[in-house]
Amino acid sequence: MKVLFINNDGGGFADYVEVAEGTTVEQFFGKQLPGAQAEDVLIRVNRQPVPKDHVLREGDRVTMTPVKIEGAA
Amino acid sequence: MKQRPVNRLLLRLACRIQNELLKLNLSRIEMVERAIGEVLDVAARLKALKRRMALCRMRGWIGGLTPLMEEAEQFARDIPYVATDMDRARQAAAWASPSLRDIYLDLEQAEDEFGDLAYDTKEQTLSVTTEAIELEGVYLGPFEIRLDIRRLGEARGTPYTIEALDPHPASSNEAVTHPHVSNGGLCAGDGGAAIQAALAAGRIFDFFSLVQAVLTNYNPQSPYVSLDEWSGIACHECGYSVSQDDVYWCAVCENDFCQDCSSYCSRCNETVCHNCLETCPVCDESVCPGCLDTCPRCGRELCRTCLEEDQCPCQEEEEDDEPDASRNEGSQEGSREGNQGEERHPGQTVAEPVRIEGGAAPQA
Repeated sequence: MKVLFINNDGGGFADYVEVAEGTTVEQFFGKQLPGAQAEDVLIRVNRQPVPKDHVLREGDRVTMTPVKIEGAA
Repeated sequence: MKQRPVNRLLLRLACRIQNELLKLNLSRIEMVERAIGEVLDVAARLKALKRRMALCRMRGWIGGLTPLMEEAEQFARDIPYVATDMDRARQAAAWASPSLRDIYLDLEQAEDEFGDLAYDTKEQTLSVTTEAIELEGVYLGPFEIRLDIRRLGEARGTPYTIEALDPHPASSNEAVTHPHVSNGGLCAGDGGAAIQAALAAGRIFDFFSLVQAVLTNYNPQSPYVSLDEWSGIACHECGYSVSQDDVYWCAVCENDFCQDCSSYCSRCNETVCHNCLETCPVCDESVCPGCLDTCPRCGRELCRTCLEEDQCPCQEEEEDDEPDASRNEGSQEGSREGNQGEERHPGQTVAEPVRIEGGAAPQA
């Protein structure tokens, strides 16, 4: 199945990605942003905050937005 | 899930945003067209080069081939750049225009999560306010993130500003209200690309979240003014903020300076800023105005040491002039006496040459 993944960490791209049936938000996060800490990222599924064991469904819209970003001058 | 009633104001706003994003997409298509035009231009010039090369080769003009080969080398360097520019323009234009529903839902989410989504119908700005921000113990206050809807359609520039609602700017620069905000502009650093992408896709909630993520974080590697120096003293020359211990006070203009903008007088060793330092024309040393003096013979300004050592160039000039003066002495004695009588005025000591016996300079 496919979900729309909006990765606001880095380039901010949005793309449909293939995920296995029964994939939880935690698993999806670990695969898409390996090495990132969950507390540093705001994760929403269909614009709503969800628990980490929430199972993704076909067509879901998943956004991951870092809560700390380094600015510059 | 129970459907919420449609908020008409948000819907109108979503329509406006969608219209602006459509304009943005069209202007990006125009940029792709321009980039393609540049590629075609290079291709046309390459074709002409190929023709000239073939002509040189067939006629055996070996000398003429050398500059053409250099031209080909230049093309080989330029082609990847124009191709990359074209691809960038294509990628930027590849964003699909968001649906009205998506924009509306994003506005609704921003309203829910920020709580104070405000729309100024006259200025056509959409804004949210952050909580009061304190970074590394420095209180900066709350900030308003203001998005100018009318500027969403511009392909270049940033359509948003950051306003400090309870400003606590850096002491060295009033325009810097946050380590990454100057004159209302945010330097988003690592968040720049994601913010642009969110705006181009009409993801208004993501836009506000990303800007807030930059504002609530501090990057000590690249601030406008570092938090260590937030309450420091501004260098009078360059504005750089320096801590109380590292400030240099100019004894001449009595202002504070950073280390790079200050120096010292090579005669009295007093700290003096670069602007107040003078250069002695004789020894080329940098000296403060207090250590400069006027040569009583020619009026030149030179450092006291050079004056005391009788190093003023007028001394040498006078010696060079001397043989001519003695050669003409007999014939012009009468007229010189006459001239001296005419030119001498009370108090005109600078213009009047004074012969110094034994080389000692008179003290000023």
